[in-house]
Amino acid sequence: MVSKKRERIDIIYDMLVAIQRKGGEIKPTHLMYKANLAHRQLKSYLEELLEKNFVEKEKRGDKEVILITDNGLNFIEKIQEMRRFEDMFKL
Amino acid sequence: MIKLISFSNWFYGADIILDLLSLFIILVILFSSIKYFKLNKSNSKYKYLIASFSLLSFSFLAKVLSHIVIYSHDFATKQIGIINLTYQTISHSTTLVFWGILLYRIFSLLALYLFFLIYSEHIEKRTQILIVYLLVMLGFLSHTRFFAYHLTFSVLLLLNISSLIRRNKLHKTKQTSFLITGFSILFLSQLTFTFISLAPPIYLIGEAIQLIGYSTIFIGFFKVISNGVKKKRKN
Repeated sequence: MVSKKRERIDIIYDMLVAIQRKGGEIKPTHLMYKANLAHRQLKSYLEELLEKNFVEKEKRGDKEVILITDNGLNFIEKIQEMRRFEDMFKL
Repeated sequence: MIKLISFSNWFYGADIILDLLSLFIILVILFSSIKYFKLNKSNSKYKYLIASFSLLSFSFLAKVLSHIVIYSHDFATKQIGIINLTYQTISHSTTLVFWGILLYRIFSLLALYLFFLIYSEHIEKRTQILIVYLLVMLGFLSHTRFFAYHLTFSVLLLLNISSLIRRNKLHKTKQTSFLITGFSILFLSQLTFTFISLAPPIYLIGEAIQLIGYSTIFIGFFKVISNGVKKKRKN
């Protein structure tokens, strides 16, 4: 079976879910692997997530972690609802 | 020429209320699909769904308005009692009712056809235009043969039901099962409407069945939302 190309919204959803599953915070390199992204892609998507206030960056010593915000959690729920709707009408 | 069927008093407004309830359900699903489309604009199938539910809501609006005109005209002829005034009321209302019912039929047929296109995007554009033309013509012509409209509506419903059943077999969800059941009940309501000429109350029975159909679809939609609410509570 041919796998469907991931849309932008799917990638954002996968990133947010990856952070959520890691207890709400994740290292950028881990996020890259969990969301199956290249470094350049990660940078671009992360900028978008920060802009939309779905995530926050925090310095922990010399390392950086990404934290999911309430907006990010709400967005996950919205996407899940949208997917159930798409499932209902088989869109 | 338009044929106005006179109903007994208990009947006034009952069908309008049932139609308004159906319209409410259609509008809720329409606004939700617009909301979800804003989240996922890359899914072009939303455009068909939004267009379909928009036309369906316009069709119900046209039907409700024309029925209000029918009933108010019937009251006017009873209360005024002056021949000239009555004649004027009838000529105005027949034009309004004619267009109202016509738009209701054309919009509802096109709505179901657009829903059908969600699962048949591969149909050539020229063929799509031809089908639209034929459905509009059928809307016009069914003015004298109303059962032609109800039968065509039923056939379109059956086509949509079969598309949904096939897709639901691949990836089964409760919500789709409710949608299929709702469409099947709507199919029954259309069959009921074809027997209106036997006795006017059959129309109200058909309307009630139709509302049950839309309510079943709404239950499926409610499951889409309520699942999220349950998760929130758990958290």
